[in-house]
Amino acid sequence: MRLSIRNSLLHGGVGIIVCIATLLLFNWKNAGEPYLFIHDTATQERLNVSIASDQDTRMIFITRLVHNKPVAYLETFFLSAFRSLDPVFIFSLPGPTSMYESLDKIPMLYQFEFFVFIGSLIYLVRQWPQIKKSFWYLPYAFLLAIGICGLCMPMINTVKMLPLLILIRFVEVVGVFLFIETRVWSKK
Amino acid sequence: MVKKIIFILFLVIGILIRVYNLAGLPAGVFADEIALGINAKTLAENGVDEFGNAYPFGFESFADYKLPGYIYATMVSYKIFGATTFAIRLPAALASVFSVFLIGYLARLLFPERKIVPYAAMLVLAFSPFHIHFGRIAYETMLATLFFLVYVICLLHSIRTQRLFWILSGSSFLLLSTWTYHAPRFIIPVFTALLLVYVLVVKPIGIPRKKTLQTLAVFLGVSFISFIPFFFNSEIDKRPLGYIGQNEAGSVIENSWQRVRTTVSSWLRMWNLEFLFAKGDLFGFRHGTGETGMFLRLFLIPLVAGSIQFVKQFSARNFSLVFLLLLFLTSGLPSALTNIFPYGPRVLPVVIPFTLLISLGIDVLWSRLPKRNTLIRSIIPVIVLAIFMYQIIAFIHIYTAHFSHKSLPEFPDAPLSVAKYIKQTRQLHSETPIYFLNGNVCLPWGYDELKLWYYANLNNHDMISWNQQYRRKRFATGNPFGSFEDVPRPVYKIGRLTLHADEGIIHTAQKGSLIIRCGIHMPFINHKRETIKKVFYMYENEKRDPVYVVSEKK
Repeated sequence: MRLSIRNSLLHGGVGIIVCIATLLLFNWKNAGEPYLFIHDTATQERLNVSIASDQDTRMIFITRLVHNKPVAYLETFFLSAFRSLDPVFIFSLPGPTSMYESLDKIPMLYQFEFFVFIGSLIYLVRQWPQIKKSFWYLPYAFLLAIGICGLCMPMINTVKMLPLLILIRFVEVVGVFLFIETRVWSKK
Repeated sequence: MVKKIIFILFLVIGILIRVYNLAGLPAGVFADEIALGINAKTLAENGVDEFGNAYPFGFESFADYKLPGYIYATMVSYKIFGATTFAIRLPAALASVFSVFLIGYLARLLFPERKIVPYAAMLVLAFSPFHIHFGRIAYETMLATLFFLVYVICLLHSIRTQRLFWILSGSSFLLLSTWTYHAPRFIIPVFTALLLVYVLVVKPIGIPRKKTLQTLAVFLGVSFISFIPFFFNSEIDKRPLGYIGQNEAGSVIENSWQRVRTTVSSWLRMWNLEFLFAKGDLFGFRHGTGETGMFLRLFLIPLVAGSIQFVKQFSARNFSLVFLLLLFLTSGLPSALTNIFPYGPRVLPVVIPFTLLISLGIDVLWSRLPKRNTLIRSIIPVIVLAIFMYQIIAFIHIYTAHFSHKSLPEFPDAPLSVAKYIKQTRQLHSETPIYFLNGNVCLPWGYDELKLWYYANLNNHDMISWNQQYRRKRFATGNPFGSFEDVPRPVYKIGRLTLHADEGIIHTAQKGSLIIRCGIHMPFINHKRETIKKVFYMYENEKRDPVYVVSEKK
């Protein structure tokens, strides 16, 4: 399979749709209810207030355009995905667990892994033309892992992040291995 | 042609969002804004600050010293527009508008071979909710960031041309930036020094090394010169330096290691996608709406594309990319060194490198559009344009409908209305005694006597005298900047107006006197003795949360 932006988006999109459809199947009775998806209090409040009180205002068209269930679902998806991608949280770096939630410290990966991951990622990106035949699935896997994080509750938790954490470790191992292979072994 | 029209149209919308109803959105002014306004007023009218010091360098304020740049700029706008909110906010708004054009110019200087990058940079910054917000309120950081941007442009020109004009201009804007806000005082010397070390160690492609080193040494020298006034006014730095050393109880090595780790962690939080694209800084409404990030969400994909391109193309000899990397490193440090989360005003300079990276991503994505398939080449831009417009509409809605309402406790309109009411009453009924019973501030961080001073146009000499009395009382406690809430404000008479009168004045006040109280006291007003004449609400349309009550003695 050839790797291109179009293919990435296509396959990532299909993956997300499949995930949404699966979740809707499990909650089919009240799949359309916002409280199932919108767990971010600010988004929920905004939606509730707008539905309850904006209907008589002159700006009703704009209000409805900005505040509606599809947009709220999308917003919750993004919030959940964004929150899961905080490097400080993932690598247990100093400071509060979340910028926007009051949570106890949740250790995830070791702090030193941050530098290993960044180094590996930079190495893989720079070497991509040479290695894409072997690791073509990595972008899709990342998209899928982020999609899973996005479809779960925005609140930070470790279970929804498991696929992402496994991938991060995988990138670390692959990056370090390839670096040693190309820079150290090949010279011998 | 169509592309040019669309670009200009969007640019005009971006500028209009910055200047539309500048004085009324946010509705009122917060403490720092009024402090800037008062000092501009006294400077413009009497050549002194709010305590009577002639043309000072550091302006003593509530808990800190303000740098002179913004105040002297506001002095000019005060002279033109008088005692209005518009005059206080104008320098920030103009700086915000100019930044939009200058970021395009900087992008052109850094990436001359990429034709789309300058236009993309202008659009990205024009619709940055974070940048728009700081352009609509009076914060020194916006003006300082503009000066920093001009300094960076002059620096690039100086390196390439070595003309005296650019070196002198760069030096002037370096001084202006460092004398306007604290963050550039750290960013500029560190950035210039790192660039100098880089040119010294690596030989960048297309850069005359020897002359560049000379130029950078000159700018580094000027940045050290910029510190001279602070040696003579050392009190200015007490608060900014205090932030860096707080909450440290271990040994020097432990503290230093902890400080390094916390700084790295806080710097990385700049890259938190929720901060960048969803919520921004939640410290307060003065730092953002809480519903919008630093950039529109659409720019997430270009940011990823730009970052990948950056990593792919990066080489130590690529001057433009190293320049961008150093901008990233240094412009995020003032916030990272002083706060565990990105702190709005201190992190504002970071919009410059982020905008450049996003525009790089836009250029990459644009070049990846299939050239032969005209259908895809025309459909994708239309879809992107539609999403872009939708996000602009959503932002305008959030700012005008949500933020304008939700930010009222922080930007209350009522104290301004009271001040204007008092001004009007003093003009129309000059014999009516007015008692302003605001013994303790009605709202947290209200400092409403300053709003009265500015908007009711009270006499500067009288108010400076009152301010000095209050200052003496605060300094007598040994904790001058921490005792604002504890030390009662002195009673002071300005003609028939009595500031901070005691509640007991009601018994001795003559018939027909106007008594102005905090809204919280409204239920306790004795209706046999007084008649309520007017109530100023926090939420005027809903008649909710009275902030001030005006009553008349029977």
